[in-house]
Amino acid sequence: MIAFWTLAALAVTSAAMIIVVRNLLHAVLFLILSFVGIAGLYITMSADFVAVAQVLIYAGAISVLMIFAVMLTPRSDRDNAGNMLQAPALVLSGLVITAVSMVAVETDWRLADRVAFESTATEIGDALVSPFVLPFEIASVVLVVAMIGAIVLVRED
Amino acid sequence: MQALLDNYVAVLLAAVVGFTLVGTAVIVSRLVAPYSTSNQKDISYECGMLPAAEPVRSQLHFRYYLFAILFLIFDVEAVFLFPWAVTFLNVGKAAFYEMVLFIAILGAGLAYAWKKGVLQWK
Amino acid sequence: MSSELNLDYSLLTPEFCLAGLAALILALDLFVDDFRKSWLPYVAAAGLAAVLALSLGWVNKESDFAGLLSVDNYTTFFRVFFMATAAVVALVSAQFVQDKLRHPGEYYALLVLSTIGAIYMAASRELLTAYISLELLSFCLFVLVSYAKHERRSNEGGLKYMLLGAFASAILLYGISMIYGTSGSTFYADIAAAYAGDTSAFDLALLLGLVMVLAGLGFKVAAVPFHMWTPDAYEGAPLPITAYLSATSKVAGFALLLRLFSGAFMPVLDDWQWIVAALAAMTMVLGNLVALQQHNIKRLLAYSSIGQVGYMLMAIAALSAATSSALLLHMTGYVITNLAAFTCIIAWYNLTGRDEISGFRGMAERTPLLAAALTAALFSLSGMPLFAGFFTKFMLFQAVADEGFLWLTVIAVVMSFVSLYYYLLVIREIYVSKPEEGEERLPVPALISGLTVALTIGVFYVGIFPRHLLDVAEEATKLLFA
Repeated sequence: MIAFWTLAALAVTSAAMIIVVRNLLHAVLFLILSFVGIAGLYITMSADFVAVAQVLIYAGAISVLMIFAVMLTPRSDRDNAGNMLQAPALVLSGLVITAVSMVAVETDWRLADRVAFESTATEIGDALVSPFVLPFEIASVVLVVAMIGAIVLVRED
Repeated sequence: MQALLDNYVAVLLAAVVGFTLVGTAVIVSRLVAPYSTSNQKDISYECGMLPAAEPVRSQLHFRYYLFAILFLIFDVEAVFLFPWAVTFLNVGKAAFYEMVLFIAILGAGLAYAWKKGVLQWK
Repeated sequence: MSSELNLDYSLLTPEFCLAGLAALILALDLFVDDFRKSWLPYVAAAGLAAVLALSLGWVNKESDFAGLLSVDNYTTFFRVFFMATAAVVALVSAQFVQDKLRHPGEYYALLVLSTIGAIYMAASRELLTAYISLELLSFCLFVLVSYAKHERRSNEGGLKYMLLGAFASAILLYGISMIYGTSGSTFYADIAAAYAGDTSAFDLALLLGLVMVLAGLGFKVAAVPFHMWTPDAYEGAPLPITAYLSATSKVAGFALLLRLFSGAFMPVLDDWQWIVAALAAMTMVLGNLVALQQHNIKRLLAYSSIGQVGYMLMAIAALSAATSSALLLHMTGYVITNLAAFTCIIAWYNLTGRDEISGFRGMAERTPLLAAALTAALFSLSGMPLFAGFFTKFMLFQAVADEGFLWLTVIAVVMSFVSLYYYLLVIREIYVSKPEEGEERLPVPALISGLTVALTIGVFYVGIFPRHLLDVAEEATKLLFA
């Protein structure tokens, strides 16, 4: 329970900091912190594989991508100034947060019937190769499309 | 629940020990090492120009970005490989060929990138 | 779900062939040195036509792959639909890509791969498969929209489309997780079974899930208020891709919506019907009214296509066997018409480099065939009798009114009249405004002339002999409400 609240606080605070800080690079660093916090939350929910994937992909690769993006951008050190839409955006996100938390509290969720901590990787593997083959294979095509797209759009010519 | 807590104690202990070790190392070196400050120490060493007044960030070459994207793509592939690796012995042949197909599709993508000359640093 | 899975890979043959075709195109472009790049579109179109013929082998067969997707008449209908659309787009792209874009091999390969995504969106009976297929289609479109990467507008449109599209995907996924959390499954049939009983324990989460799924898919089909990306993406994209966006990406979204809502969410009809009806009304009104003020033909068609989405959403709001076959019919008529219009616009742009509405002046004198075909297409879009648009709208509006949504039908009819006004503005430029001094007749390539004539015949065929297509549409949707 303590772990959950600490990690939740970490994830939420750093997510808020992303918006608050003026420096783009700092924002990216807070984003990484938020990713790590979320990975921790996954562990408290005993979704160990998802947590590892979260660290590998989000805190690892995607952060690298974002840092590169910031470094590539000319004048990236200018601050992201506020604009007229700040107030409506605050109201809107407040409404969304209220709605989602209301739903989370009010609903009688179907709970997974697992008590002890056990590795989920095997189960995910089983699901990937037998019922969910097709999404799994389509995912590889999606990755190839992403690769082609990146090459076509990013390469100089 | 008790088992979980016991595990947690071990983690907590490791964390505390780790933080203490690093903390003492830093503090002790700060205390023991000879230490002096002067303005001279802050400027460039011997020759070389003083840096320009405002911080200048050098812009990366955008070719790095392409490599980062390729890295990301194969990172995702690796994440798919792990659960398959722990499970495929039990599931049998079909699982093996499914993964072969998965890797073949990505391999074709890699061959394409190679032929396109993306992997070269010109 | 049965424990015995049907993993019959032969059901997926057409899509394997499509993937092979994409690989072939890439390989021809890259590995064969003396291959003429200008042949690529014809290779793509011929390959698509061949796979289309192959997929006809599944007519009136019914099977499923591991419960993930069905191969039935509905799927076959959309296989034919998407492959034919992609083939036409490949053909009209030929000149444009050669003149304006680089990397032709990847262009056609992505076009073919996106077709797989579109087909599986229509075929899937399970949320994850549907989602990943949607992503496949979206990824291809993100790249294709920003393909003219040395043009600012293409970059801007592509970036907006990608950011909003990724946002929409996230919302959709969140919605899917709500659906999974409340129903305990991602298979449409199991979801329907879970919702058939008492849902009071999780009513709020269900509603939130439905709203999020609708919002995510609403982004993809460009329903108001999730339409913000449309005008910029349409304007920035290379012209043939604009045509493709207005055809395949919309129709695939509706194919998914139709199977999802009829297969999974029918038991909770009361929860979402009013939302979809409201979306439909807003979409029709806003799309058509904003279209009135546009000066660029791409933006005009972007807003008019938003208006069309409103008509199509009515069919989802009033979901029944009759409205869904009417929806299929309307989408077919709409896509044939739209492709005809875009073929003319692309040909005109290739010849003159103009895509402002005022740039169409003198089209009647300079390219009479294109002018006549474009006029026919625009009349059909507005819903004039004898053209495809009239008949399909007539059927759709009638079916929707029968389900008790008379007020929606009234709005739709009024908005059809509004749309006539802005289509007439274009037609006035074509026929009334005279060409400037010294502008001669322009030669239209034979292939484009042939394609234009064929599509225009299609527009009239659907409008005058609608029986055939209606039968096909009814056959295709029969299983959804079995």
